[in-house]
Amino acid sequence: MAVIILIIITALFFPGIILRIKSIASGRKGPGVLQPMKEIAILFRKGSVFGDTSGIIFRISPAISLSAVVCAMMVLPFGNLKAVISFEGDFIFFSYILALGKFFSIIGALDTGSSFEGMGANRETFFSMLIEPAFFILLATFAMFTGHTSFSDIFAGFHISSDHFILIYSILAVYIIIQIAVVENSRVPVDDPKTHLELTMIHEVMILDNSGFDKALIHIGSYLKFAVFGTLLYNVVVPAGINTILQIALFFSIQFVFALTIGLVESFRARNKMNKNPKFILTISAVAWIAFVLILIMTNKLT
Amino acid sequence: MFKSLSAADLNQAIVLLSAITGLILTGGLAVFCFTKAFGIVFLGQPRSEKASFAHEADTIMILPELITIIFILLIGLASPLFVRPVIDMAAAAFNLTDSVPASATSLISLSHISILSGIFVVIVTLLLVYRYFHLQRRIVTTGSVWGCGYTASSPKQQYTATSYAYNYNHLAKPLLGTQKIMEEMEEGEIFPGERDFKSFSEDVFRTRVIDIPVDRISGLLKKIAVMQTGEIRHYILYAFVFILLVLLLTFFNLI
Repeated sequence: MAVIILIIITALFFPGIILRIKSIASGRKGPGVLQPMKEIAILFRKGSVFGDTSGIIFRISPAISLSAVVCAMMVLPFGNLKAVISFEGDFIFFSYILALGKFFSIIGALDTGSSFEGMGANRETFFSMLIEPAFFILLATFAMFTGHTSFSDIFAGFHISSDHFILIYSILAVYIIIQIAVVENSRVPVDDPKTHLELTMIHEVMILDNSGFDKALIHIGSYLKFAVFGTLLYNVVVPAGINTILQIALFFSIQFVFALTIGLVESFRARNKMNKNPKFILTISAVAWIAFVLILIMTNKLT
Repeated sequence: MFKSLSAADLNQAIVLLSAITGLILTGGLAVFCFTKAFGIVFLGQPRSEKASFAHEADTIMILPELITIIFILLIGLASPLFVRPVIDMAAAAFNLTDSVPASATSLISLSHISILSGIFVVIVTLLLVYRYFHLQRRIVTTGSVWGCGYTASSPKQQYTATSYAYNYNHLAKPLLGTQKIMEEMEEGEIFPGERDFKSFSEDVFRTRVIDIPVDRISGLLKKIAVMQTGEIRHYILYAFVFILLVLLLTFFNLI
């Protein structure tokens, strides 16, 4: 249960930290760290406007997407503390419950009958489809050298081995997880959440017609998802079994560094051209394959 | 599959990871395909006049589908209830008592998935119930969907199945060979007239893997068909030539 509380606390500050970093990097005073939460509170207080062509799917999809992220949180461990529910192959559940949430957000967008939202839905599905192999190749490699197939067991056994390949693989894993998080959360360089032209949007254009309560749920889901990927990063970087206080401190530090990275990338890098995105995403899968071969070499399977 | 990776040798590991990558891509394609099929067919505005008259069938006609859907959902949400009897029956029928403990691990995983699915359903229900009461206290209105300032949108402006799959088709073009049939616009054509646009892709496996060998075999069979004269004496001659051939081959120890 501790991991869920920690993820929720992280999600409260994560988007605000990105905003602060971006404003500092661009020389602006900028909003406070809790500004995104204030915006969510405003959305909760507002009424809702629905498109006259949208139906029940549009109305229920934000709740389903958020629930999917909450369920995904339940299979994540925190250091040596097991996940709320842990079982063999739970990372497959993790990936597919997030895919279910995405499925509903996509068909919710298509339900509006707007050409803009159809365009966003198409891009989001396509890029999610391309990034999926990278995540599973990464997890397959974890499973290969730990001999386990659940998040809790993988990360508990991740640092037990004193082999140097763990360190090298951790660096690659951190890179791959950050890139997956960027694609899954539709951030720069794949997407730009602050773009103002619908034709260049991916995720934002999908939720153009959402308002009030539903939009708040979508934002909460998105912030939680960031913290979920940050938790994966934490588990890769920090060995299980150290002092709990230190673990909590390291957890928040890693989440902060993760938000800092996202903020700095968004401050100093332009987004990709839309037609470059597939290549960019496939490259992440290629890096995951290279990491896998690297592990084969280091574990003397490739001799 | 993931479990076997740790004990796999090099070749097995590469085969397993390739299989995993293939399966994952299939999963991704399934999401792509179902969002496209469901979204284009059932969501948005009716895309034709005929479609605008579409309405749901009577309850009695939907009932069989509902029963099927209930079972599909139950198999997904409470899978151990359905999988356990199947394992027991298979073990009893094929004398596989040794493999039953191994399948118990899968059942444990399935039970956990069922618990998580239950939690998922509960969270969705709670959120939707809260949403209902929350919106009761707020102003809820309807309006036209976002059209970047253009509010007179028509069903024709919706995404089509082809446009939805455009990105994917673009990536898979070398494999699918997608072709477009359209009349190009002239340079001075300021107000274009009505045009048709068609796009299609070949079934690569049918055209390259099945059609080519089948065409060659049927071409060969057509040549052989000259022997099909309909004259009984010719058929007796074929049998005689065949026996003679067998005798000769046996004589020279070739068969």
